[in-house]
Amino acid sequence: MERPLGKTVLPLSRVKKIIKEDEDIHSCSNASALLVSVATEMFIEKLADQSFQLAKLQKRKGIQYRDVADVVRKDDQFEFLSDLFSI
Amino acid sequence: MDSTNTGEHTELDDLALPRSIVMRLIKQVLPQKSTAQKEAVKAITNSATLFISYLTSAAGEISSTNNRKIVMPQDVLGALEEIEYPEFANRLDAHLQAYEASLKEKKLKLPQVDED
Repeated sequence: MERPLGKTVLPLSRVKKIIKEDEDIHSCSNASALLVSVATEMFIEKLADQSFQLAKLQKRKGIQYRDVADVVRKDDQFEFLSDLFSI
Repeated sequence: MDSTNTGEHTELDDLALPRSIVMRLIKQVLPQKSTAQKEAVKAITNSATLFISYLTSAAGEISSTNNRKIVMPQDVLGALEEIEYPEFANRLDAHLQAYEASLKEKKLKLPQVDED
């Protein structure tokens, strides 16, 4: 999925607010916040794509909650989300 | 497996990224007529918030082990490798160069006013 370089579609103010939730972080440069934001866009696309692949296996056209939960259960890259899906 | 925490309002909801933008990103990887159930979009949105925290914490550790107070781009790129998303790091290099180039451009265009 190509996207304009150096730009993000997510609101940087919200991304920075989430970053600031981490007390161990003193401060974060604007370039770093941008990279976190673009990486998050890629993350959303990756999780959605893998969820859709599971839905397709079951001949469904739309993504359901259980598809996302199954991706988190199966793929180590999403293991950090286990608590969110109570897996 | 009911969708447990999607019912009541949680702390994650306060930090949620805008639904419409998450929806647009999801739609970009789905075929035209495909959809995403509301609960699935909420689960992906909450996952994105946790991804930001997960990535930030790893980047913060790298910057502090290098006795730096400010998290810099190389900390974020290093953190992506550590949390097993190396493919993102490779694609982000181009973004970083473009961003820094655009900053330089802005600086050139500014009349000689010393920024605060």
